[in-house]
Parts: sequence; C-alpha cells; structure tokens
Amino acid sequence: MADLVTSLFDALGRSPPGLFLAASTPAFAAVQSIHLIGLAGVGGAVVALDLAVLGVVFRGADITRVARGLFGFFLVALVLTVTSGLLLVSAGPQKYLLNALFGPKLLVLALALALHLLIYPGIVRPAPAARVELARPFAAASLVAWFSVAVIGRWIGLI
Amino acid sequence: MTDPNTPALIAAISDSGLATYVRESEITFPVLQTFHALGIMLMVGTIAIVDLRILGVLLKGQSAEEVGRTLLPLTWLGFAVMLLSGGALLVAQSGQLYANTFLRAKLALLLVAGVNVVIFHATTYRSIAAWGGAVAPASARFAAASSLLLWTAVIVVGRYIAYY
Repeated sequence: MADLVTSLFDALGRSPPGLFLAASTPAFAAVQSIHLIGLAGVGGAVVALDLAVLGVVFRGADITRVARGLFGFFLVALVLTVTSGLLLVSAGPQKYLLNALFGPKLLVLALALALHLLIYPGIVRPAPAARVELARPFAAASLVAWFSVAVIGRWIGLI
Repeated sequence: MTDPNTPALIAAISDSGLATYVRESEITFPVLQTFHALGIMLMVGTIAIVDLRILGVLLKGQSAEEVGRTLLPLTWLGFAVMLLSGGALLVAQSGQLYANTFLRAKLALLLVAGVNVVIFHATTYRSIAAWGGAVAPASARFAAASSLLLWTAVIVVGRYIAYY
C-alpha cells in the first residue's frame, strides 16, 4: 500500500503538469487560488445544507428541495478542489508524502465526504420529519469534519 | 528595522505593540492565517450561492429573497472573521507589505466589491421579494455576476501577496 502511494506520487511528480508547476511560482499560486475558490464553494454548500438540516437556515423550507438545489454546485466545487489539489501535490510529491498532516487530512476528508453524502439518503425523497431528524447527527458531524479538513489543510502549508 | 522609505504612519503601525506581537509570536500568525482562510471560505461560499441563485443557476426551488435572507448572517460572520484576522495580519506585516503590488490590487478590488454590495443593496435588492420565482432583473444579474468575478479576483490576488 505504502509502495503504491509512493509510486503514484512519483508518477504525479514526473507528469508534465507536475514538472511545470514545480518550476513556476506564478502557476503554482494560480492553482492554489483555484483550490481556495473550490474550497469556498464546497464550504458554502456544506454549511448551507448541514445548517438547513439542523434547522438553522432555510427554516420551514422543503429540505429535499434545498439539498437537490445545492448538490450540483457542491459537486462542481468538489471537482475543482480535488483536481487543483492533485495538481498541487504533483508540484512537490515528496513534500506532501513527508508532511505529517497530509495523511490525516485525507482521512478526515474521506470521513467528511462520507458523512455529507450519508445525509442524502435520509432526505432526497420527500421526507417525513422523522427522517430529517435522523439526518441531523450526520449534518453536525459533517460540519465538524469539513471544518477539520480546512484547518488541517491550511496547516499542511504551515508546519 | 523598517525600510527608511516607509511612510511614518506605516512605520508606526508596523512598530506598534500589536504588530510586533503578531509578527514575533510563533503560534498567533499561523492561527490568524487559518482564521483568515476559514472566514474567506464562509463569506465567499455563501455569497457565491446567493449570486448563483440570482443568476438562476441553483436552488431554483427557493426564491432569491429566501436564499439571500437566510444566508446573509453567515456571510457577515465570515466577513467579520476575515476582516479581523486579515487586519491583524496586515498590521503585523505592514512594513514589508506596504509596497506590495498585489496587496494594493487586493485592497482596490475589495473596495470595488464593497461598492458593488452597497449599490446593489441600496437599489435593485430592495425589490428582491417582488422577483418571486421569475428571472431576476438585468441589473441584479449584472451585480451578481460582478460580485462573483470580484470575489474570485480578491482570492487570486490575495494568494499572490505571499509570493511577491
């Protein structure tokens, strides 16, 4: 498993975008900007839906419709974030492999994604109030998990 | 310690107790940077949702009025976090950032984005409840598109400050 990850990272580092980004500071900063813009989109969609499920925003609204109305935006922002994130890694794979926070970030990210997506089975069909109640713990956990992803992610660049 | 060409006011800010504390503390500076990023995400993320609703892209089941009303408090919270943390970061580095082109561009863009918010809320936004499910007026769609572009530019230019 560790070998697989190492060879995958090496391949990313030798890829044309990896070599280009490693050599160009302006291009690297541009990809970081895209990463942050994608994160803002993911963060906005996550906060809006989770807080709607928790009854803080969109009070009295049909939660099913809110969830559907935000899902496309969430997916686009997620694709933007993941793609730019892979490009950032390709610019310096060793740096991330050796970073003590990179593994934990990916783990919490997987958890955050799972929690956020677990909300949907409860509410995507016009749902009785009881099913929305059921989704609430997942929404609360999702908020905490995404917050942690953002904080740990920021600290990858600081340690 | 500050460049002799730095204006006296900037030098005084840069040498103030708060600035020196933030600059020299090993933990305060990165913590402020973290809050700054989180504030930006909350503010720009919620603004983007409201703008895209006005443009008719998402949340079509809710009225633009409802989306704006329910998300605006989160936008303000993000704005407050961004402004306080960003202000402290700026004060701490004012000596070296004073001449930074990207910082100046970011402040100018923030000003334009702020003027866009003020004009929009003083004019077209007042009639938002009357838009209903229909398409927003052209002036509202223009303000929403400008807002998306401006905040995107603020993020991009802000990221470049650290490198130049």
